Amino acid sequence: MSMSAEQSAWFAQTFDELVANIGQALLGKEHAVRLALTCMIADGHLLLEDAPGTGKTSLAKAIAATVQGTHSRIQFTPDLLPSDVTGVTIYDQGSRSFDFHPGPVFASVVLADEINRASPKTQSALLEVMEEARVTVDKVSHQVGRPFMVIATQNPIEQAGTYRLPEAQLDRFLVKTSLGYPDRASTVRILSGASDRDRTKSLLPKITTQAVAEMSDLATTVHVEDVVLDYVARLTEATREDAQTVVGASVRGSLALVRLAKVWAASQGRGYVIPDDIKLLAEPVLAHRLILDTEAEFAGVTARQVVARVLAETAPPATRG
Amino acid sequence: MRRRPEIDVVVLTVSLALAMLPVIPVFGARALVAPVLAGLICGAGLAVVAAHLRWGTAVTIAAALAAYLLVGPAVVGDATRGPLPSARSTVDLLTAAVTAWKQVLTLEPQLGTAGTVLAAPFLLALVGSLGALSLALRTRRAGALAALVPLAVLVVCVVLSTKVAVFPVAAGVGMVLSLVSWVSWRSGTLAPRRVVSIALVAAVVTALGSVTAPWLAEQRARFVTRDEIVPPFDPADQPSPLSAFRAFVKDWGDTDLLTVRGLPEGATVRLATMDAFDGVVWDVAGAAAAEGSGSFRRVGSEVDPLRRVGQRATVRFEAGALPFVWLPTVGWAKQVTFSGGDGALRSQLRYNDATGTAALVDGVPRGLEWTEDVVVPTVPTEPDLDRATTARVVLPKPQEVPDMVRTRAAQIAGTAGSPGLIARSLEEELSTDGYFSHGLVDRGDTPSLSGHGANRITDLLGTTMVGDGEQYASAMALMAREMGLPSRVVLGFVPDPAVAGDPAITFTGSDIQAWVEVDFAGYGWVSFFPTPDQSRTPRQDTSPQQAAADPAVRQPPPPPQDPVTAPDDDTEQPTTDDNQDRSQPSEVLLVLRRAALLGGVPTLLVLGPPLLLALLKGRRRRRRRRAEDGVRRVIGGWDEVLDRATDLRRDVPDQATRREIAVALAGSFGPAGTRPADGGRRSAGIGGPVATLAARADAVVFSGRSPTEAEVEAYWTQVDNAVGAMRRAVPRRVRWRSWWTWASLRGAR
Repeated sequence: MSMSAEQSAWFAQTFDELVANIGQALLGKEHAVRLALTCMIADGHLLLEDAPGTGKTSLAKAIAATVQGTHSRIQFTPDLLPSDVTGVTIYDQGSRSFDFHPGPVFASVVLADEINRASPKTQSALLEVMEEARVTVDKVSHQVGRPFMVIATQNPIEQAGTYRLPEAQLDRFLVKTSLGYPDRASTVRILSGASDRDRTKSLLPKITTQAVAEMSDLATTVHVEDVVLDYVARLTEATREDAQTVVGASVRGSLALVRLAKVWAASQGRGYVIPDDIKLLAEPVLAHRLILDTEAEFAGVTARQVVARVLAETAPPATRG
Repeated sequence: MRRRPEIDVVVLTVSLALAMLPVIPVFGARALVAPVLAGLICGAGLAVVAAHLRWGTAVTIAAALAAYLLVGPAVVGDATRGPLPSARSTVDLLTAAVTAWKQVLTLEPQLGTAGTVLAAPFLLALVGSLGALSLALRTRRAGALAALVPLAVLVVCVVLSTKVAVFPVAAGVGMVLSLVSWVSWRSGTLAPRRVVSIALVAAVVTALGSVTAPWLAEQRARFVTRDEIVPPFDPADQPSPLSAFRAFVKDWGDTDLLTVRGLPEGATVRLATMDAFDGVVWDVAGAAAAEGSGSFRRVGSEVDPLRRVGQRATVRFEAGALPFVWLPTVGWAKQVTFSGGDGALRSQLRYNDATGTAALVDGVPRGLEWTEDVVVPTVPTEPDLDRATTARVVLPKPQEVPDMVRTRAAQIAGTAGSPGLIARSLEEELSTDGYFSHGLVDRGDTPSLSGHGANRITDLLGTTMVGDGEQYASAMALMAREMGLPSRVVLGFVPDPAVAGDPAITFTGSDIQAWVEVDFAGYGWVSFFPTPDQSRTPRQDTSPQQAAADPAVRQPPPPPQDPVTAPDDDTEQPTTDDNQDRSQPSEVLLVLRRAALLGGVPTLLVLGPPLLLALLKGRRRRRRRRAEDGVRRVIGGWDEVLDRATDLRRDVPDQATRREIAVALAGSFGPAGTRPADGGRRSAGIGGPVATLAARADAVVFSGRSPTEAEVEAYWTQVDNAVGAMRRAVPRRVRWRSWWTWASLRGAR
């Protein structure tokens, strides 16, 4: 069953309202906001990597504030323990039983700030939750709710005392993007409201968690033509066969790209995915999944450049084939 | 599709070289080698460079012109100019590009390197190879059309050439084989592993070509413009000289027609040679006859280039009241010199190599004096002739030959063992058994009808033979043909034995004579005089023929007479009227045809390419619009927009999605209200319409549903609107050029 015109209109309208709401807190970053929202509706997790002070935390907080649901923030530090994230089972003397005390990860939107500062052990505890949407403590599984989205931030500079996320774990993030500095007009607007220290505080929730789940379900009905799927397959194959990559995009990467493209198409009011969606989303979805050749890295080549080149060299479909 | 430029270059260049073989008889092989080779190499080189550097049409044409002017002086040899380009050579070559074609057609082959005529083959080779290779190297799908260029060049060369074919079978089969395999190779259908079927097809093509080509070549005379553009002197337009025989005797009997000085003894003066019998008259065959008496050509100072064996002599002529266009000759004329103003008369002079007959197109003016250096062929002796065989020569088949001729010929020469004997027995029978009479009753002659048609010959042979040279020559020539001898009738003057050898002989109308010539291998045309002596008149010789026979000896039975049957509708009876009305095209039709040819060829050359492009583009659009599948029709609409944008010199990005292309196009045409970079009116902005078209096409292609008929129609309407907006957004010159460009045909979508 594919999306009806009314459904797609409702989807696009709701999506636009959410973008507008978050846009109040994050000026001049509409594309990043759309990408983050798309990621959330696609049941994915977002990794924001950028220099300090570019609004990573603001974005995460604004998304959390826009969705009417629980949200929590974990500030990752080197001494953070896995149980600080997932929760802990404590013996209750009154009831004489072990009770599970959920950690901050049990929330609709979890902001994992500076995730690369925590030890790998703690990181992997979080990553397990991200992948399986449940926490297993003392052989008991505890489901996290829906929607469940982790927005992790990391700082690419100041590498001292950080634990870089292993590539396998990077794969768990549906999208990795950066915000970049705002343009001058937006900067002036931010400065003019400098007295308002946290713009996200004024945001009101715009959507219930249930509605987010509905949007999520609706997005799965978006039609993807075989030639577009073939295009995705060709793109990911090309990243694997590229001379400058050691490891290319995985099948999980392809799946992620299609999943995200469906939501993106729906957010544009379309019931079908077009190659432009794929082209637009390929870099945030695929770039962080590539491992570059050492020589290429030394030469200053970035994964984003490789994806851009692959996109330029792979012909998009024009017919149904 | 495979791209191997070197194969394109080799195949097309070789095909073009083969296509230019027909002009060899026009220029001569030696003269033609340099300009054709230079043209092919220059054209091919330019095409390769232009393709490599992606030159536009204008630059390529400019480069071709430069090559023509720079290389031209070296190969279009005019000794006065030298091989290096100069201002004079430039002017000459530019003029030659226009005038050479006419010269090629109007001057008599072989032209050699005279003047700038070689500019024509040079230009043809240059333009042909440049055009063919540009098509092949610079277009993808339309590239196969390059194979048509050698064919077009072939047609042009045939039209420019003479009736002589040069290796027609080999060249034709070679061209077809190489071009067909090249086209199929280009389109990717040539699989080398299917070697058996390829060889089979090649063998069939070769066999068919070899079998049918000679048949076709012999069946009809080749159409060459040479005949049309300056209508050659056509003897068929002249009345039959032989039918004027009686007029010579009756009207001009005492008129001095010709005075000849220095006529060798035994030589005759030839007026006209006739080898076509149509049932009514003997006539000089028209130009349609491939050989025989029809091919009259313009001649220079040297008239008959062949070396002939015989007695050389210089004969001086002075014309009296000659009533014909035919210029009297003796034997084979080697050289003809007119006294006084030579130029005007020389341009009128036509000579026929096969018959040794000359003509002045506008007639022989009274008092004209001229000198001929002649070779009078040696007359073979009778024993030589008896052993000789006839020569192989193509002559027009006589029409409506009366049965009586066949019967009498068989009677007279049925037992003769050799062609020479046949001819001599015919000559002897007619001249000894016949009676002479000019039929001028008022001068005391026995009645004898004039004419030499089928009826008159039947009369002559069926009863007592009475007639003069006209009838006897006609009868003998027909009988000789019946017996398989190549014969023809000659009208001319035979000097009276009394004056033969005199330094000056004056001929009057009564000296006119007609005789027969038969072609013998090794001896040429040998004359036979079947006319009885003028003294043999029926009145003087009244003794019955049969009295000579010995009654004691049994005579052979009379030959069986053919049963007389009433003429039926199916049998065409020879009549004089038919001769006049022989389906000659009317004057108006001829003029129209010539005008169409003269105007049509340049028009075709100028309008042909854009017409062809328009045709191809129109066909492409129709194919897109009428595709069976709605989705295909919508995609076709989008492709149409892109192709039109390409033709308007806008870059359409490769490997881009429709929306990206729409953005790029909107950028290249400029946003609304701006002027495009290449000038033109303020753009109304095509971004909106094109973006909408892209989005709609995407919706149709990727949404998985089929568009309705109305949607497709609406889409094409939008396509037309968008194309209109694009065309309005560009300057007029770009718009105009978009008709001429094959840019969109190069990258097939």
